[in-house]
Amino acid sequence: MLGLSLSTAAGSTVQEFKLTISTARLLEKPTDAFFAIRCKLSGDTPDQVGQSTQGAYSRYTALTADVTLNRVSPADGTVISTATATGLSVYKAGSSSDNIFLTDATGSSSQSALASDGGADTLDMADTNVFSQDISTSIETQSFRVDIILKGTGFEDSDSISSDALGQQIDISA
Amino acid sequence: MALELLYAPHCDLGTSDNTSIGDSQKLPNKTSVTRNGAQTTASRRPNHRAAGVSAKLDVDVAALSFDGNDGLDLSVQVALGSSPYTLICAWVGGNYTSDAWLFASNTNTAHYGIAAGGAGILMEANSSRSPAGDEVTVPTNNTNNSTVSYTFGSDVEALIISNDDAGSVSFYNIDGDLIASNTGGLFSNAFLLDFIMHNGAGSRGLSGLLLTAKVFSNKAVTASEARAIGVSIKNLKNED
Repeated sequence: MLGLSLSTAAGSTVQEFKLTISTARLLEKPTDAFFAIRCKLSGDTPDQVGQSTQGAYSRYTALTADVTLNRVSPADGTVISTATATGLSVYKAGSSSDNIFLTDATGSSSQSALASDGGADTLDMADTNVFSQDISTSIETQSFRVDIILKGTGFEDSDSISSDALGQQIDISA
Repeated sequence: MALELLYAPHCDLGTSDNTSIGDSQKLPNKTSVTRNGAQTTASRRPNHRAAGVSAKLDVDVAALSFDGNDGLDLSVQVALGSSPYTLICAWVGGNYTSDAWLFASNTNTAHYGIAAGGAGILMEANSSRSPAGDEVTVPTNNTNNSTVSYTFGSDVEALIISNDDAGSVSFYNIDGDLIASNTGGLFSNAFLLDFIMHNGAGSRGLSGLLLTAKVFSNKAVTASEARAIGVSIKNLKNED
């Protein structure tokens, strides 16, 4: 998974770097059906995608993420319902952090917009312009799991990585 | 089931570090009833801890700092106990030198908390009877009333209290492990929640950084649900 790999394109050999993610986390925001997805880039990936030279909370313009959000049974992880979102933007966190946030925003952002309650760039589970369907319900103490593939121009796509298999709680307002 | 209260200072990233919450702080919540975490006594007001200050938390996670004599007084009481209920509290950097009350009532000093030393649960039902209505300490550092032996530490911790309204109360930690349980008819009595993180008089509070406090009525969470809640709280930790 980690390291350089070779691939052939148009008769020539080019080097592509495989994007790797070590963790995926869902972060609850108290307001409505909003939440955030925070991941951590692993290995040499942060350097390869320019982590050290970009400002904090800026967008990686060459990267996108495909996300599958699953509502799951906390007892056994059985998937109850699923929504997908493709081409989400990828934002780095602090300048010295290898955290990334996935969001439908495309412009300038900030820590507060990405991670604060009511942040303008947090994800809205109920927004069908972002997700293929609204899987939020009025049931509280429900659990969700997220599956993520990171994609980039000039990179090999990451392997799919998931948050906790049995899900984690996100409260959804009635 | 209803989410009666959700305070989540962990995702308040707009307040400057060390800012007092003031006397009428509407903390993030999404319930139909607006409940402020007010504190009219200046010396009892907790201070905001900005994201990036605590090394134990992710750089994008904030908190509310309590010194043991601070606490929140709810502007509107949460009346629990006519049905099952769940109380959830998460914190980091807890100091367990003294008894610490996490959820407390103004009626009959009913409360739930952590015993001095961090190896026991405190619980007192809403009753004037004695000794049946007196405070009970349930040790957590054995498996007499639990599935694991557990002692609270200085890292991110959580206590998930599940009361079935039939006299049984289960206590889960951040891993969703059952760390204590107790039964007694008085524990099905009404629990009228008035105070968080202190006894209402600015004492018996937990010294530490509050991350979230959450209250459900009509719901006693199961072990698997407690585990899922614990995962959400673990996600606030610094992964580095």
